[in-house]
Amino acid sequence: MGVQRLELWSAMTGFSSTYSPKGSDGIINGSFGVVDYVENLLNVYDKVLMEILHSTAEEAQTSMQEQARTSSTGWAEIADSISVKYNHENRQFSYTIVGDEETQERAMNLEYGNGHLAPTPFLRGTILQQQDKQTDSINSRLRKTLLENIGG
Amino acid sequence: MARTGFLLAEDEALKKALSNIKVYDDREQERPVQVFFRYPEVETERTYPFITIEMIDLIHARNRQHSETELTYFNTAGGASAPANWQNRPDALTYWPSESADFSYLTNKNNFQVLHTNEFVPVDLVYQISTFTRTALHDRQLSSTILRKVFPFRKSSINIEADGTNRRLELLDWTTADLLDPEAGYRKRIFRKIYTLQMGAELPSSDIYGSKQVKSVTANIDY
Repeated sequence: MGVQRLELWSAMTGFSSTYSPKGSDGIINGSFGVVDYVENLLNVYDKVLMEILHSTAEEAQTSMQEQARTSSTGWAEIADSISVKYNHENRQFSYTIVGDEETQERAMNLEYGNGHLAPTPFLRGTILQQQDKQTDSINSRLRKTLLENIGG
Repeated sequence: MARTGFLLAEDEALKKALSNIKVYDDREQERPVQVFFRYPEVETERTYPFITIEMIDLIHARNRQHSETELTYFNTAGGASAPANWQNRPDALTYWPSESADFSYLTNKNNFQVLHTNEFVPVDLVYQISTFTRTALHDRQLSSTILRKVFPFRKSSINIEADGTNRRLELLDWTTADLLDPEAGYRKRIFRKIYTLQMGAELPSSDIYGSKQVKSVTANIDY
C-alpha cells in the first residue's frame, strides 16, 4: 500500500509570473513608476503567499499531531507520522502518512475502516475543520505582510 | 413518500443516487450493485460488488453562516396578503430543511397567515462512500459510473425529495484502498475505492411559529 494523499483544494488567487509585451500601440509607451510599483507588488505577493502557505502547512502538521496524540482511537500511536506539506506547483496541501508500510496500513485502516473496523476519519475531519481558521489566518497574515512590504 | 428528518432525508437521497447501478462481465449480462448503510454485518449475505454509505462528520459551515435574521412564509392558502414575489426575497421561508417543501405537515397551518422562524444554521455533512468488488473490471466500471454519472467532478449536486432542495454535493477526495479478504484467509483481494463527499445541509435553529395578519386599522377615534 503506497503513501496515501488526502488533498485539500485551495481556491487561490490567480497569479501569473509571465509578462507579455503589449506592443507600441499608444502615443507613448514605457514602464512608468506605477507599473514598476505593481510588478514589485506582484513579486512580493507571490513570495509572501508561498511563505505563508508553507508555514500554514507546518502549523497544520503540528496541530494535527498534537490532536492525534490525545485521541483514543489508535491515532495516538502514529501521531508523529502525520505529515502536511504545501505544494506550490499544484496549489494544494498534501496530507500524508510517513513511515513504514505497517504504519501506513494502520493509518489507512483507521482513516477509512477495513470492513471490520469502522472508519475513524481523523485526517479528513481535522482538515475540514481547520479550513475556516486557516483561511482567516492566511488573509490576515497576507494583509499584514503586504502592508509591511509595499512601502519599499 | 420521501423519508423525512435531518440526516434521514439526506441518507435516503444518497442511497437513491447510488441505486440501480449495474456492472457487466463475460459471465453475467448484468449484476446489480447492492447499497448498504455501513459495512454489512456478518449475518448479512454479501454479494459482490456492493457499496456502503457512512456519515463520518458534521461540521458547522461557517462560510455560509449569515447574521441571524427571521425567515417568513406567507400562507396565501390561509388568506395571507403576500407582497409580490415574496418567495424570491432573501428572507423568504419556502421549505423546512429535510422535512417539508410546503409545510403541509403542519395540520393547523391554515389557521395562520404568516409563519416565521429564525434563520437556519448551515452545516456540512461528510460521507464516506466505499465500493467493494471482487474483480478489477467491476472496480473500473464502478469508478467510471460514479465519477462520470453519480458524483461528477466539480458538477455534483443532489436533490433532497423531503424538502425539495437541490444541495451542493462535492467530491472532496477519492482513493484506492484495496483489502485482503479475511474470510478467504487473506488470499483473495477486495478492490475498494473510497469517495469522500461533502453535502450542504441546514438545521433549524428555532421552532416554527404562526401569526395572524392585521386585517384592518381603525384610524378614527371617536370621542
